Amino acid sequence: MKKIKFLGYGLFAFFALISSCKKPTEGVNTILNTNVFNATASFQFIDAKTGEQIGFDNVSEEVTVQILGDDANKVVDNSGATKIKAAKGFLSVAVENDYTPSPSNPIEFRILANAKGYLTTSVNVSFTSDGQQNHIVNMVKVDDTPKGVSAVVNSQVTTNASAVTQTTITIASPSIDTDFEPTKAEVVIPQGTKLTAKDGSNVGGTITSTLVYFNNQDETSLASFPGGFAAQTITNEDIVFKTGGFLAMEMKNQNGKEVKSFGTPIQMRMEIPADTENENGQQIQNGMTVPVWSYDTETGVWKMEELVTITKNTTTDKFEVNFEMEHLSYWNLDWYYPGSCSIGAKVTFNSNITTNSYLTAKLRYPNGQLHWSGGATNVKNGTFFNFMNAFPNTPMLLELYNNTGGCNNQSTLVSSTPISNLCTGNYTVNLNLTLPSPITVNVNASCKNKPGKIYRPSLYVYAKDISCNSNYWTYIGYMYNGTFVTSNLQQGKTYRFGVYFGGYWLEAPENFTINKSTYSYEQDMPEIICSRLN
Amino acid sequence: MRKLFITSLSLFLMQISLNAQTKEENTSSNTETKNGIHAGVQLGTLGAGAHFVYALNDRVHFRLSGSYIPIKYKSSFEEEKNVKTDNELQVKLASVGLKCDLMPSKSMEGFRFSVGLFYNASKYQVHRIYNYDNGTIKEDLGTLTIKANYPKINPYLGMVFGKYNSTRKINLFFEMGVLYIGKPTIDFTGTGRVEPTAEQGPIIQENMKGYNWMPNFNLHLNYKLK
Repeated sequence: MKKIKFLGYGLFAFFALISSCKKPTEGVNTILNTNVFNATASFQFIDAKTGEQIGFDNVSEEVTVQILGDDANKVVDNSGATKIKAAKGFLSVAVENDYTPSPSNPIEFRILANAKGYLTTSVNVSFTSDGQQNHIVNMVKVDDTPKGVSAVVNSQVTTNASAVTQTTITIASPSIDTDFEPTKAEVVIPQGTKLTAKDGSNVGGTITSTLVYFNNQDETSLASFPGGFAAQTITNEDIVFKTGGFLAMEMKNQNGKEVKSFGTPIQMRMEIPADTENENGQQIQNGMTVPVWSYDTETGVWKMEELVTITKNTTTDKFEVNFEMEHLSYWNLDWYYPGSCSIGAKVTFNSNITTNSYLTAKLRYPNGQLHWSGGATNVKNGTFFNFMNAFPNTPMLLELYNNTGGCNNQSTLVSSTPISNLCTGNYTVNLNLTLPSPITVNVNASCKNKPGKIYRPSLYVYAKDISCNSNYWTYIGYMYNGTFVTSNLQQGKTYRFGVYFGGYWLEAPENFTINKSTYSYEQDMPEIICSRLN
Repeated sequence: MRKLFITSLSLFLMQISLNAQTKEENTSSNTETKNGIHAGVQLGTLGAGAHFVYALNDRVHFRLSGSYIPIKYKSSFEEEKNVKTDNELQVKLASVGLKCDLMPSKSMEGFRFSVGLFYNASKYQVHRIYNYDNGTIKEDLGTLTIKANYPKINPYLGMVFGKYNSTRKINLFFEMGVLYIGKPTIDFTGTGRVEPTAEQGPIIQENMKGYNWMPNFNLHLNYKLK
């Protein structure tokens, strides 16, 4: 009997001890890193004149995108969806992880962007390795063009029932707002010209023509060139353009049917600023030739149409070219550098910056003409990048601008480095910058219908300085696994944060006044986002 | 860990019935030897093993025992819609104990207190694999592994029921006690998209700070060597 008693006391003590234990996983949540993709790219579609996001406040101007090119089927949005749409002028896409980009097997595609009232544009994207890319896509609003671009909308062309024009109409670009020599373009549509669509059918009625002219001098014009200057030709060559000017023309009837070709050629005259230099750095002169290229927005390739001669018009005292067109497209006067290198010279940053900090990179010819304006470039000490789709043997200048956005979207030149050859060599950019102190932001996101689960976002993060009601969203860093560090925010200023995810633009529920170095917050996500998370 | 305790309880209940048999045997022998050497086998919550006993005199016995048992338990379930988890609990109990069994008084014949030290090389691990499958998209979400590491040297306190130092060559005795295994350190690791979950190792460690007692219920079959 005594043994039974001892047994009872022992058991009581034992279970008293056990009952004091908590469940081991009590309070433990499943935390998911949402960084699913290894190669991603973000895009900001901005008005080339105002710098503001297109469609941000005006839904009717929302940008619609198409992914084109041989590798288009390998591209998804950053939620993994194949149906890709921009939101408030933002977009983030990714290469599916089944594909690994490499220099020998690059993933290349093109994003064609349309927005109501804006000229259609495209941006070429190339991945030769995993990583993140940030692209700024400038789009030109036809009735509010930036410096160096002029546009006109004309509705004077009318046809008979056979889609043949009734009178000769001249459409000229209006006077241009420029810091350089004013130039223009002019199109003459002779009486008796038959207008046809892509399928060969007639396009009759009252025709609305939109003509947009880009000069080759103003930076806002060069930064807005549809497709940029790295081009692929119809013969599958990768080349780089040096432009003499650009003309885009669209014609459609009252039913929206587009004109694509003419029964007889129409005439075009395009002026070229006298300061223009060809691919060899020689200033233009009477008798010099320049190729004319046309662009197919559907295939994204350029075709050399003809070589035209530059003449000096004694009446206008301007250099100009005259040629005929049989079809409508984008027309570009371009010298070119053949055989571009897909991966060029390496640029390494030797800086006093120890956290991810972003500057805007620009590449110029020795005469100051802009060749390329990149997105945000990380200048943290030791980081590097390679020029892509570049051309050899032409000295260039790499400039870095501190684009703080802010009230006036101000941008300050902080560095200028000569690059003797874009295709080979190693270059070091020395930077000694005074940037705001680094700010660390930690985010845990959750869904009401998924209790016990926390999502750590991996997204491109943008900020807007609302201290002065700024309308400029600036890329401030890539949030990886719920954390990012940035030196692009200034103490004492109030910011609003936003991200693009899966076709939606999401903003933080509150504004943040920067007064400490670390911010952590919990974010409840909307149901529409939660339904797309696993 | 809970499952371990449930297993312990089951074994204990099984041993209650065996103990009744032991009681009968104990009452049938009433003559004890001064000293002796015994060997035997054991089965209990620490596993299966063997023991050696040196009886110094009627009241003081030294006992060396070793036990081992591997436990593997697998299960699968849907954590939430389209998210399936495959779980595997792996426990390897391995211990060697040196104990001193003390009879409090001659009037408590058949009962002894037991104190001692264990070298405990047991290992505890839970491994979970996450998979997403909605019928069209399958994705490996990663794995989580929790390992609990305890101090190797554990003090022991227990009770022994049975007259194992009797004149009978073969007898049974039952032992009940606890090892103080100390506070665990948790090694929580992850891979893939669930990898950040492993940051919460300190929470598990805090939750398990009370998990520092290891039950020891053992049934011994004893043979008197001399």
